[in-house]
Amino acid sequence: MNYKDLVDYMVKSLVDHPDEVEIREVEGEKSTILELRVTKEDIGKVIGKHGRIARAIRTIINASATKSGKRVVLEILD
Amino acid sequence: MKVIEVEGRTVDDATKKALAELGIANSSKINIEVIDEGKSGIFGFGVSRPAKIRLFYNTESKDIGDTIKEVIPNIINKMGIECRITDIKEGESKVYIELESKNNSGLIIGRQGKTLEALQFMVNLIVNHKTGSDKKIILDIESYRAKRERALRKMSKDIAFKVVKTGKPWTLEPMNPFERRLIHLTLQNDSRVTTKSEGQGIYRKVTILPKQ
Repeated sequence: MNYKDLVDYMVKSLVDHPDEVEIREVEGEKSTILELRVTKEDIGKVIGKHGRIARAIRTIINASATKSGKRVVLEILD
Repeated sequence: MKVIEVEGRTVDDATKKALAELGIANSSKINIEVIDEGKSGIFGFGVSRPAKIRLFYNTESKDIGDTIKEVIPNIINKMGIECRITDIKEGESKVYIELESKNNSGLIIGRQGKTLEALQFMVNLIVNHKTGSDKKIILDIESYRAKRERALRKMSKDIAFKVVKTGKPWTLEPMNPFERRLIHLTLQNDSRVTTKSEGQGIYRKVTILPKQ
């Protein structure tokens, strides 16, 4: 399963500066960590009011991770 | 928005020329204003005047239906789930989308519809960002919405019965505004109980209380 691709597509479709979206995938034994970096102006667009957008992204990733039984964590860095 | 003025022998002729010039075949995205209908000389005598039109071409936004057809399969397939759109109904302010998945509709719905809700929220954000429309997109799969509505109505009536019997209030699990509203509406005509919502944001819950 390519979680990076999924997050990449959603985030790039939301932000004003898709060229500056950076995602690093850190694969562990039981969990995968996705580190997301966007420009300062776009950070609100991936977090949303009360973290609503970030939560929706996480819910969608977790649904796709159900089959593999792996834990996928999305971290938004600034 | 693009505006061009074109002359031709007749209005039809001018329109054809204009479409060719813009390189578009789809005439649904244009508006035409006739400036001059033109006049053809009789038997080559008299003064002939060419027809003149002004054409408005809407370049700014992609069609909402096309964008939805591109965005939804993209997200869901990237989730590793097969799924297709079976129906799109576009209304004044809402667009209803029917999805179908052979083996994975449960995954698309998620626990208490959480995944479907997240997908719907995401699709709304992306499509509105891409097209600039403010129509609300509603996703449904296997009539989940109608089933959930029926289940909520039944549950709220069952719990109201329990509340009346025991005389103790009962607090339901957190729900979204639409679902809370449904509970309030279902029980508003029940004279034995009252309902109220408490809590903040996603933790907001409905409590059913016996009426004193």
